[in-house]
Amino acid sequence: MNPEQLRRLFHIGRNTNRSARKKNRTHQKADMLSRSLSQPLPLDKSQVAMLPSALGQLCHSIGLLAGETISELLSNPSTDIAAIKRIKHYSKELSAQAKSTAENDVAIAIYYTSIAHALVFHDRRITRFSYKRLESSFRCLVKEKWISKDVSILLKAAGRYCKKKAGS
Amino acid sequence: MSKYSDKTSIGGSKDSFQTTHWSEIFDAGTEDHVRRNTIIDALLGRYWKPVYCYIRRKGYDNEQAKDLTQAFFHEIVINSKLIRQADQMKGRFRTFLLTALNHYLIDVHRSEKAKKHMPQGGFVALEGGNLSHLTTRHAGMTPDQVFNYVWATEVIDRVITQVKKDCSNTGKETHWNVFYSKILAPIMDNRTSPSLKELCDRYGIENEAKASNMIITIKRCFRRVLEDYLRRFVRTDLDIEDEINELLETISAGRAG
Repeated sequence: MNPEQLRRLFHIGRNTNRSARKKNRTHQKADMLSRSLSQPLPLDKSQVAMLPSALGQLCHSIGLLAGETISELLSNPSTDIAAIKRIKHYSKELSAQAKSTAENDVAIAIYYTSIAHALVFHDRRITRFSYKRLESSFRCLVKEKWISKDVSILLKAAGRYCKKKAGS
Repeated sequence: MSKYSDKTSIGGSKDSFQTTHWSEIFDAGTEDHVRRNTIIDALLGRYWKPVYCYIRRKGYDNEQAKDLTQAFFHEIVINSKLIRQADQMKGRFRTFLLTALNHYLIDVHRSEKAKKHMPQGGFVALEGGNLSHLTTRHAGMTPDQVFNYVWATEVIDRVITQVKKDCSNTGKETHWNVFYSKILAPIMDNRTSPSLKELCDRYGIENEAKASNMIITIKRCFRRVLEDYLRRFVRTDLDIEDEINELLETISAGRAG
């Protein structure tokens, strides 16, 4: 079969309703990612529990007052690496709690975006994944239509970083 | 009348779509040799063509490619490292297989691993003879494109065979003949599509509306069978569309090449 024949045969089997649903799902995931990134990073309860109650109360207040969104933290090159690690940890929690594939995909996107931030802005690899594997994962995520432009730019930069590192 | 018969040595009997997919490979880290060999045979039967063509495109000759194809399927079941290396995030069996194959060939290149993992008693013949005819159409394609293109061809080939079989099993031979003559043959054999009137005369169908409905019925069947087949390689039903889109992109790349 030549390519044109193959293409025409695949079109016989295309489900236009499914195609429409797919578009809807892309929009839903884009919204979900946007909502997740616009949330402030929740307070790390395990750390607060270790502090005396009065100090804990103060930390809680500071935490709430700080209130930078995940998106702001990830897009700010000067965000502290500890905060980026917390985002990574938080994304794992999101993934563990995910009730759908879409929620899990969004959690994975945040996970890799935090790794991308650490690579691009801190020259730090906060994962045991190899540069080659990371580059492949970044490339894969960038292809997704629901990934926002800001995140996509960061992932692309991280992909270039990993490619360079893997080659060196 | 159709060139699609059920008799072929490639990919097993094609009696129906089997259920082995990559979740089973993950479970295959077993010491049970019988179970292992069953999985290897099943994988080899279904997926040897794209793997073989990919390896040929990487520059290996016919004999090397046949041996490496079989060694790869042994390796994928036996060596869990290959499975771990494959990025599960991509979530599709085709991508997984391609990634694992790529890692495998790198390993082979480094350590001549194929020799180390040659199964006892050597390899069974892969269709025998020279399989060069499979690779002649892929000039200008990258190895990845060749893999995906041959994969897509296999998907369509199996879907058409299954649809024909389903029609036969449900007494819809006339439906199949009308669908084949009106839709498939014009695409596959570059024939002019006959009019519905001609088809009614040829197959003794009462009227054109009925012939048209027959075509719609088999198109639906075609869609269902394609989805059933692809469903085994993706995470969710909604990913089926992604898989089709990617295969179409591959086909377009082949056309450009």
